[in-house]
Amino acid sequence: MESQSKNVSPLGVSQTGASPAGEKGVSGYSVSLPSDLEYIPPLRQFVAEIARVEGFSKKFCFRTEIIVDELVTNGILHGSQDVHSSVIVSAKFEEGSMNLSVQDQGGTRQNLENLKHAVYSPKPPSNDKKKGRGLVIVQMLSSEIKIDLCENGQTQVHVVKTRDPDEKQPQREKLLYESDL
Amino acid sequence: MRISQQVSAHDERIVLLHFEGDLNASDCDATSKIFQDIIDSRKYFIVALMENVTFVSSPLLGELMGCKLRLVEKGGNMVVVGLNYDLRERLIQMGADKIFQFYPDTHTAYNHYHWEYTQTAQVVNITLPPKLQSVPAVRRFIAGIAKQKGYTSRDSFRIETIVDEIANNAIEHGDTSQPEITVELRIDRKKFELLVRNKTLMDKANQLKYVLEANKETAQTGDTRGRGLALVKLISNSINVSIDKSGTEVKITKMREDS
Repeated sequence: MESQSKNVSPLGVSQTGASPAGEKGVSGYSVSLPSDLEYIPPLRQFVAEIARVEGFSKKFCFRTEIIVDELVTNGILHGSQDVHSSVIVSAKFEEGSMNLSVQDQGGTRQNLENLKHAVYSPKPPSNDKKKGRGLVIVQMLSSEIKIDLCENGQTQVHVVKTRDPDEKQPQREKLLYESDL
Repeated sequence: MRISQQVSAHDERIVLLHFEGDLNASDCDATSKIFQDIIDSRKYFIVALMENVTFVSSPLLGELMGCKLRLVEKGGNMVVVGLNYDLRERLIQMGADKIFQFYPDTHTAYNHYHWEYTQTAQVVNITLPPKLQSVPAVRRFIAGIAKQKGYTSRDSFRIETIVDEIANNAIEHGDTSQPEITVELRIDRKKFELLVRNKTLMDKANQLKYVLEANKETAQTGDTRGRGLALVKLISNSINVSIDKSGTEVKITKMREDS
């Protein structure tokens, strides 16, 4: 796997997205879905809601929703070979951070060049351009971002988002019946 | 106006029609002839690409409606792709969105075609840690998918209830050392299938099987819990449990009400 990163250490997101058994304080979630834009609204809300369950603030979750929306839209529009393609989204939550990974089937060489350019030399497009601002926004909202190019042509975009230093860790919302368990 | 056509590289049953420029009333006859030639060649699915269209006149819109009707009569369809914002708004004001589906790109149009006409199920796999707190997010996610795919609110509410019950059971009654549970959703135009897999202790798994096969509620009159599976049986069309060494798999099938 060819790996390119921008001052990033390997994230170690597992293929299945599930956290390795016994790894304390880490929760791993993974979703594999068809390459279809209709799935994006429920998916982005799901990841944001999971982040909330894992104890992150509303602001963090809202920003996560924007990141997921952008990365998965890109994966579907530029990284899908046909209607049978799928996109895999993995999220691993640790004490103060979230590691998010979006894997698609890989697009054309031009798609890949555009992606690399957007990630490693981000510059907002001129005002007359209608597209090309999504990854710039993702970079603004996340702490680290890197691309992995797999040998089988698949592309993985990894994002690390850490808790804001001034953000108070909210108490996890307690279930009504939690005391019974 | 310029129209060019090509057969889709993804599926030879689909024809891509590229429209360019102003679509005026004087172009109606040419448009009708092109559609008739395509129908005569026994291709009944058309994706109208309108990225480079600047204007659509009312007579031509009427002509396109007629062409779509001819395709629908043959069991096909036509969808519109790539309209710019202004033109899309204007067509919506003219009521064209009641007749045509508008899509942002051809990929989404292909997805629509496969969903509507090939009856292929779409599959979503979810892996999650065995935390009860994550179940509400999962059930809302799956119900949201059902709604997005055109299932009624009543169907998606029932699907949410099913997911909630089965996922909660998988976590609550599963082996406490299981690292994860998996939820698989297979959805097509007519039915919804849910598969939940977990690791369960053998006595719990057999208890589950007994509850399902006994066809009765396990809860006694005074108990406040234990009616979940009976409820799931009521609102679904079939429920199967398979147990082996690798774990327990519960499979629920629910037919779409308005299919």
